[in-house]
Amino acid sequence: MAVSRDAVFDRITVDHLVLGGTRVAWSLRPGFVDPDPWYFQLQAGYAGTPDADDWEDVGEAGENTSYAIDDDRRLFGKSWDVAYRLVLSTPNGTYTSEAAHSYGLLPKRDWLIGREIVRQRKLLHRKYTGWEGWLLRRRQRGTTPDPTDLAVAVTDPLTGGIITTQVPETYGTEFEGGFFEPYATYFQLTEEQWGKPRTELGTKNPVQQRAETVAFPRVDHGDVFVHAGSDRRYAVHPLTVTSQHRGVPLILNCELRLIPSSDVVYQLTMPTA
Amino acid sequence: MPVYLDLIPVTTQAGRDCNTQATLVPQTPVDHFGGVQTVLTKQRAVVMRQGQLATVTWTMVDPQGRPVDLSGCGIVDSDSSSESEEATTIVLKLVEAVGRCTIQTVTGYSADPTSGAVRAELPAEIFTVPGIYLAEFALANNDADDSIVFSNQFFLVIESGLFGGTLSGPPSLAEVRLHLRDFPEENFLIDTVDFDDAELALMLTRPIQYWNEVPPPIRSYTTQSFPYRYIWLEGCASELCFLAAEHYRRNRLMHSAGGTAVDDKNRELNYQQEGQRRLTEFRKLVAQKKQSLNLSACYGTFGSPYS
Repeated sequence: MAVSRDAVFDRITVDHLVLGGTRVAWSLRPGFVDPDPWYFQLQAGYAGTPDADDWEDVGEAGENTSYAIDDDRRLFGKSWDVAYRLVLSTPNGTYTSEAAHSYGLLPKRDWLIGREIVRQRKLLHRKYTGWEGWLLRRRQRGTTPDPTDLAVAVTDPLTGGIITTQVPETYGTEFEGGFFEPYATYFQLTEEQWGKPRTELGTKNPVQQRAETVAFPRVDHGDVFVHAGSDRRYAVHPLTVTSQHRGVPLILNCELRLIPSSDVVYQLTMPTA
Repeated sequence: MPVYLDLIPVTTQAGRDCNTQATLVPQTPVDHFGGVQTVLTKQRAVVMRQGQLATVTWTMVDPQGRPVDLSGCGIVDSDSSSESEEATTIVLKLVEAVGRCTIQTVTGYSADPTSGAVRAELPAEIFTVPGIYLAEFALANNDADDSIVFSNQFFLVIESGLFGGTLSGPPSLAEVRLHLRDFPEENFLIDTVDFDDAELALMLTRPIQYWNEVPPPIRSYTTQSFPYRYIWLEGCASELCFLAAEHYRRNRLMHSAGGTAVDDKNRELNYQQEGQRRLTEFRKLVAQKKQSLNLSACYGTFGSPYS
């Protein structure tokens, strides 16, 4: 479900099929009057953010079409993270739609209700309680440095598990680049809980906070939220869906854990930095 | 103790060319869900100041608000040197919105037929008399009696000013906005104006219609001649509150998640009550004014030439 309409695309629906044959349909805003021909290129990606570099073309661009079918199977685990978008090319320019997730196909009325719920929550976050910042979507796929080359390896050659988290090439993940481009968003955080538990490693000062955000784009365990006002960076931990409509998640709740300032994640540059 | 001043960013945006100020373009209506989506099917308004020698620029649209290509109906570019016989002509007609008595007709032209852009220069009979006008651009057939291919209606608001005519006419839209404190920067939750130009224009006609239609029929007015500005503004504000209440009544969706509810559309009763309060005041003032005029007409005196 695409959260809202942009200036060009009205609504994009994704009728997802796991084994392939996903049907993506779209309509344009009535006021869009660019001259013909219109070429629609369907793209699929996993991060779901506009600037992510994992968007890939699905088939050839279609001329003056209103739907496309993705024959490829794109989901293999339990993470329902594939998203689709469209790139429209006309003689006047190129327009990219918002991402439409594969959460579920909603009839128009339910889509409008879901959109209104998301609008209300975004309003609350933007105007009152939200912390402005960036979401860093963690790469779940990509190129892993050669695990047999000890100079660059970040994963165990046998188990594939991460063996070092402080390498600036992977930023604590197993994939090069570590995270996708930042996406400007809001998280509503609860009051901080400060504690100083004494362990065998010494005194720790963990900061954990519950946080709420909307489910567009998708947020996953391991993503990072960067608070724009303080540059504090938080790791996203277990997520729960606090509001959904007919199976489509709309609002998420998660636990944010403050990442120590010595962590390599702080080397990621934010747009205004 | 040092005093720190907030920095005010210096804007380097160049001012708009003064010549463009006489070209009037309608405001595009936006939604009340953040003010980012245009509402193409909504009636629009063109606003100008009394005495302004202006050209109205309009884009001819279909009922869905999509621009219409006029070149297929024989409309050619105004710069075109061809002398072909056109089958249709662009015509602008204007009439005062309440009285609807004298229709003014102006022949327009198209600067870009393919995009639907048409223009017409307003006559002095119009721009010197402030008021709310109903305007209609039409693609008129040349070979028939006043028949048209299609047309678009909009409001033309000529605001009262100190140049070019009499001091009459409705309160300006800026005055109404000031009265209701309706500015995008101050409307925290909607990020746009609560009432667009067309809504203000329509609601400025309603108090005059009420005056004319409610008995007793004492003096009939138009938006060019109604003299009671306090009553007018109160009546307009009341109608605007009822208009806003319609939006909130229709769009409220109660939803709660994670122990928090955002009920920003729960404003219907506020607007309804405020509209009712102003309406009661407006009706009371109208009744008093009509009584006063009635009595004055009944017990009026004749002057004596010997006194």
